[in-house]
Amino acid sequence: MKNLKIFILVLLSSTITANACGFYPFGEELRFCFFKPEYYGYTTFSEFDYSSHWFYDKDIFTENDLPPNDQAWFEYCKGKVPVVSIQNAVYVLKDESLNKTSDNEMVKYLFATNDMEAVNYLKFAKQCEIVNAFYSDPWERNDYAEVPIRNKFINLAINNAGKTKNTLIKERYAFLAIRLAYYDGSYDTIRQLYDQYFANSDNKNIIYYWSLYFKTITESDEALASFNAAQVFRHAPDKRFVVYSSFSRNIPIQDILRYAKTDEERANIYMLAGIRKPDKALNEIKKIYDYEPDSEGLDFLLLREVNKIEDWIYTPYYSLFTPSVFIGYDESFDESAAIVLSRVEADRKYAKKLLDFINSVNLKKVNNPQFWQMVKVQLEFITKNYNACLATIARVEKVKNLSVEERRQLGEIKALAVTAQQPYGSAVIKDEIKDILMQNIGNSHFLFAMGRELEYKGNTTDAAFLYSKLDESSGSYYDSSVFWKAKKRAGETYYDYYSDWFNYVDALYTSQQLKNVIDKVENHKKSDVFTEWLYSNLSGELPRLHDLLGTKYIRENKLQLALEQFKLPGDGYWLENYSPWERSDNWGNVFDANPFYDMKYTPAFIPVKDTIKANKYTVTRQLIKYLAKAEDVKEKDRDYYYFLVGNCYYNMTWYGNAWMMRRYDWSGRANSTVIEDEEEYYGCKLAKHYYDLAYKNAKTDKFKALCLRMEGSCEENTNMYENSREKANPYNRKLYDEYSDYYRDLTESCTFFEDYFKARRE
Amino acid sequence: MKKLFFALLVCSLLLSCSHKAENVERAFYYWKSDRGHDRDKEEELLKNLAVQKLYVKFFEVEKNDVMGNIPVAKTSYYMYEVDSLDLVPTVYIRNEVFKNCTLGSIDTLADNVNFLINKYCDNYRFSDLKKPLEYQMDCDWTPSTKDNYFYFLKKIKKLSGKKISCTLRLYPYKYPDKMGVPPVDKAMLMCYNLINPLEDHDRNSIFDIDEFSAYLNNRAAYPLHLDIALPVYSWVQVYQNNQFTKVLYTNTKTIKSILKPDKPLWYNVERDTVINDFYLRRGDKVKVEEVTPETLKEAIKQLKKHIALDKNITVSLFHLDEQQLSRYSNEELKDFYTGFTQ
Repeated sequence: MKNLKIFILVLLSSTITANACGFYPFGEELRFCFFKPEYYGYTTFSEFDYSSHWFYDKDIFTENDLPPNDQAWFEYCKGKVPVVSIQNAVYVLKDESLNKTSDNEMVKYLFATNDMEAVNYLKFAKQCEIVNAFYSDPWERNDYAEVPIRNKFINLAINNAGKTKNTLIKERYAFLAIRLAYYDGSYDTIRQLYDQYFANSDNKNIIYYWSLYFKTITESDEALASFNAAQVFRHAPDKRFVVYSSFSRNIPIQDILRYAKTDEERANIYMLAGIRKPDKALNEIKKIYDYEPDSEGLDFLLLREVNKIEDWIYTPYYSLFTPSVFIGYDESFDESAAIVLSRVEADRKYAKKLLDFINSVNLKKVNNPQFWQMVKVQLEFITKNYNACLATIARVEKVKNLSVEERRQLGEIKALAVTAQQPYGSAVIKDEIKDILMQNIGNSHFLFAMGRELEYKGNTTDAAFLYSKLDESSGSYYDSSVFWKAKKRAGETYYDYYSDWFNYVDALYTSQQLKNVIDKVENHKKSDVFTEWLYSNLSGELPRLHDLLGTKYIRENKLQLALEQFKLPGDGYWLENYSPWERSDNWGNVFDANPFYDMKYTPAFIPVKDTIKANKYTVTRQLIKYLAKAEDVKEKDRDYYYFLVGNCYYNMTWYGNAWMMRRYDWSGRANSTVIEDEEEYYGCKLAKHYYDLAYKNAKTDKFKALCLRMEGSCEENTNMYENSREKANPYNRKLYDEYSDYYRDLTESCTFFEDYFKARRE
Repeated sequence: MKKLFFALLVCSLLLSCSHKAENVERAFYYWKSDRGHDRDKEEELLKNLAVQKLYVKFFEVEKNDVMGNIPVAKTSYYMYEVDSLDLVPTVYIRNEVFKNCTLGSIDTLADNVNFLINKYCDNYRFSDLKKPLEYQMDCDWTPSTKDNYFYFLKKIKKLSGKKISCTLRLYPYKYPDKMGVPPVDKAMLMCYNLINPLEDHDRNSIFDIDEFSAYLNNRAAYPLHLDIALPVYSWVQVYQNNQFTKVLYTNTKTIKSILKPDKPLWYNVERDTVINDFYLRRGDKVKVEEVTPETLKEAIKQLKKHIALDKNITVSLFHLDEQQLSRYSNEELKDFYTGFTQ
């Protein structure tokens, strides 16, 4: 069982190092979005929800929606046939099943009304289905194959359209011919049929707009194609995804507007123009409001605009990543925190403009005034107008028909606003929002945003508690994963983000900030459900927190404080938790090596003279003990103890076998971090200091030479850290000049170390 | 009278003596469309047997209701360690393709076939093989499709500018008057699949020496150069509840460990076993059809006896499949080639 644990830890630790050359969060993993499109029911536009993904084809009709073609057949049957029978007859039954004996209500209705034109049309449509597609060319000559029988169907459809008396069925035949012609690449046929059957039609039903879609594809006039695309986009929801790209972004919108005769047509043009804009679309929103304020599309465009602003503001403000959707407005791609945050302020000003527009409209004219109020709440928070935001929330919350999702949405913004509203230095999690947090236990992005608001207000303690609750989502990957950066950066390094509380606190929290967290955990008394939930993770992590605080004290070289912290977890903790991935024999068993006597990659260093089982507590205790002996002027072996102390400090660096005294993972790439002791971790300055004291107290030349040799190693590491490898190494020079007899022994091999160490006494 | 006696003597000598070839070009068919095989072993086998030519089935052509004539079962050939084998692209065309079709559609077909062969020949997978000088067409034509097929053969010859060979079953070999002689440069006599597998339960449908010999007793020489294709494959026909269910291509040596002999060719399944994702159940009946080295040696003897082979012929074994060929030793496989020159 123990081996299994070790194996799992080795596996996990390997994933940590693997991050350096593999995973890096991007796109939806980073995007912050509280104003969820799925709460507001604009599903027929959902293919165009703001997202870092490309637009993609979705099922846009919910169970409650009646797709336009089904509606058309329902009306054709004069409302006498259940929709489910229509869907079965139109989409499921085979052509041979459309006969008098069928028990399908629609088929029965058509036979009862002797509507053989409709029956024959449905049969024909089903027979054509097989050629209503592009087939890849099996002979591999072209992208698509020529399908010989398609022409036969086109001709039949045209003939049937010509001889059918029922206008609706006639148009459907004409549409079938148009669609078949499209797959056949016969654009002239499309144009001809469209002109003949639809161009002058007064009945602009779904068949009309479907046909207009294919006509649009054949249109060489970009402005006209864009105009048509906008009308199809408005009236044929199931063609929105395929038609939107026919709207040109490269021609002046005035050219497209020339074709519009009505305000609705103009609004449709601005709608699709807005959909195609990855950047600010306030102008389009205003224009639609001018031409058709009650259009559903306007609501959707507003929703999309808020989602954009959320990404432009929340994503960088909370995570310090750039917005998830990269739209190329920053060619320098400078991701420094200052640049990222300066953009946020510019985008808040844009949000204010949108809010001003919302405040200026007559809500009685819009499609869904309640939705506009929800938008207002978002924008008031985004623009830091917290009082107004909370007032609007209070007003909207009184509306009785709010959905559960809408109430939750309001709650999220309320919690954020209440927290952000507090002055720096005294922000807390207020009682009035605790229930809201409890309702959002699985919403990691929201909890993280709450943590950030507290952190930005100086309450790093409660922020840590919230960060510790991030991984409790049982929902989607998006819900459960948050990635963020810190303002303090470590220069050019790949692993520059955080995804869990421990690594963040490890890197960014001062020892005092962490102590505050620990004090709060230790002073915790059982109370309400919220507090129990909030404390539950960190309460169970106390030993680890003491370990971390002790480690921070080691980084600060406060050994006594570190010892006190390392003592608290107890032996059981240390047995289970220290560098387990390096305990396996295959990896050299290095932490079990004694850092006072053993040196990495140096099998014959000096003889081990004590029997401590190395862990953070015992090593610190021993370090304090040896340091005390070294500094005791009455001690006759001061050089010896200084040397041991030097060894320990050396081993506590990146180069040594006790690096885990200062870090929680080790990478061969020597990644930079923002941890305060980077200079010591890579530069070995304390080790050099104590080797120097050993040198100064040494009594024999051979031991002095050994001390110099060790100082020389430390100096090389310092130079490497300071990126000045070419700098002269005074210790090596001195070794060469003053102890030239020993120089080769000590610099060309490690095998003489033990002899030189033993020679510290005459 | 003397002249007549001399002529009869020569004639009887001709009829009774063996027509061995002087040189045999060693070949294999590569017929697989999937990749489930051990490429290394097959490459090694080709080297060990000093094979010079590989007939690779590039694709098959079938008629599709929507698309018309389409290529299917495209080759998955991938061998990179075989040096400079002669490549013969081979195309199997279903006979239905030539039923009820116009000459125009055959023109299109020939153009498409020629295009796709050329395209595949330029593929990196064939770069280790020599550029083909010959294409081979494989079709079980019938009297009703003969004219269309032969038109196609002429057309492909003209379009490709290559030597065209075709496969020749024993029936059209025996009845050239009825089946016609294909307008090609040479033909590959396919000495297998003589019997409908599902109709004659008592005989081996891959190869039956009596049936085979009966096809060979032609008096007149076939008017085309003939190469020879011999079967080195086996299969297992599965019957469940006395109904034919499936053909399994597997190592017949291995499968016999779970079978109990019933009567010649037939076995009862003794133990539930999964073979090639098919669940064979105890009590199922199987017909194991395979061709022994001795039978093939007899076939070669008959071929030499009845057919006036040219000095230089190609002998191709059907087909290159490491698992199937594991039933034969390398020596036995070599003998199938050298048997024609001895």
